Amino acid sequence: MAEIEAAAQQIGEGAGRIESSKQQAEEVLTSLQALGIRAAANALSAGKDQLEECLAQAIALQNKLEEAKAAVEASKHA
Amino acid sequence: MSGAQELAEQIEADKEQVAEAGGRIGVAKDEVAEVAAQAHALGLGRVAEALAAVERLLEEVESGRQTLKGSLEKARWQVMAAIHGVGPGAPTSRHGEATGGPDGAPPPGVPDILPPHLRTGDPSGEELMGQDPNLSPFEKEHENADADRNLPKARRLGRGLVRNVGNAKSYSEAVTDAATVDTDDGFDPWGPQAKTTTETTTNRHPGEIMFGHDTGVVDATDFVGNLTVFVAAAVEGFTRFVRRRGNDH
Repeated sequence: MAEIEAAAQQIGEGAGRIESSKQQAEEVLTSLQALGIRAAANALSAGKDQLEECLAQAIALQNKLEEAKAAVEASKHA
Repeated sequence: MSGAQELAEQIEADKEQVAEAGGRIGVAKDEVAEVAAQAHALGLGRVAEALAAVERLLEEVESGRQTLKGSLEKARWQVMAAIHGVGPGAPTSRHGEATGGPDGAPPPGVPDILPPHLRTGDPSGEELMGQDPNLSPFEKEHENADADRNLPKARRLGRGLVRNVGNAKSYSEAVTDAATVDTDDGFDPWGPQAKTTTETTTNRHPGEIMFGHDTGVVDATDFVGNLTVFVAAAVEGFTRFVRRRGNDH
């Protein structure tokens, strides 16, 4: 149970970091677009989209770990 | 644009954190499996079932974690591509495409990729080799496939044979091997009870003396494969000879 709790916390922190990375990617992308560096902006835009997907995956993982925690609790009362 | 490099490093750190979570998930799964086994041994069927469900959930979490790790690596690569100007968004040539005036010409002095002094980190291997990274692996392999276009037919044949001699040899060996029939079907007219006497001699086969091994048996596939290589070399050599003679005249 403690390990599941720790894993859930770690994934939660990871999701927070990924969110922060995504925001940073948006800032850099805005700068690149302002400079007219189109090719680099296109590549970074793809990176930003990928980070959004990563964030969704991290949140899904966190939810699943919460589900596992609940299942462990339920097993105690089985 | 050091922000892009920092972003790449941050994504790398995110990936490491996700990797660490994998260790904890693995430990949790082992613990749950152990307790489930104990519950099962004690006859606590419901508890064992509930814990088995937890174990399955944790397996799904681990699978999702692997996927997330791969996605983060992909994101990091895309950021690196933006820094080094390679990958799907990069220009197909050094002239590239860029925003600019109404005629589409790039504004003077505006680079389409990050200038070297703003980049950090090492360029990719493909960039160093001068190879267009947008080519697929098939296209890279056949990048100069039409280099012989202007040569005469005979020369093209010779060069093609030499280039593909490895494939031709393998093919001819495979065909020969399939066509080779083993004539030894184990026929023994005298039966297993027959006694035989064998005389051994200390004299060595001349081939063995020369080559240091038993050369009594010739392998058909080796012969055909080597013959293919010889023919390819002979054709190429002959076409070069003919060409030289033509130039001399």
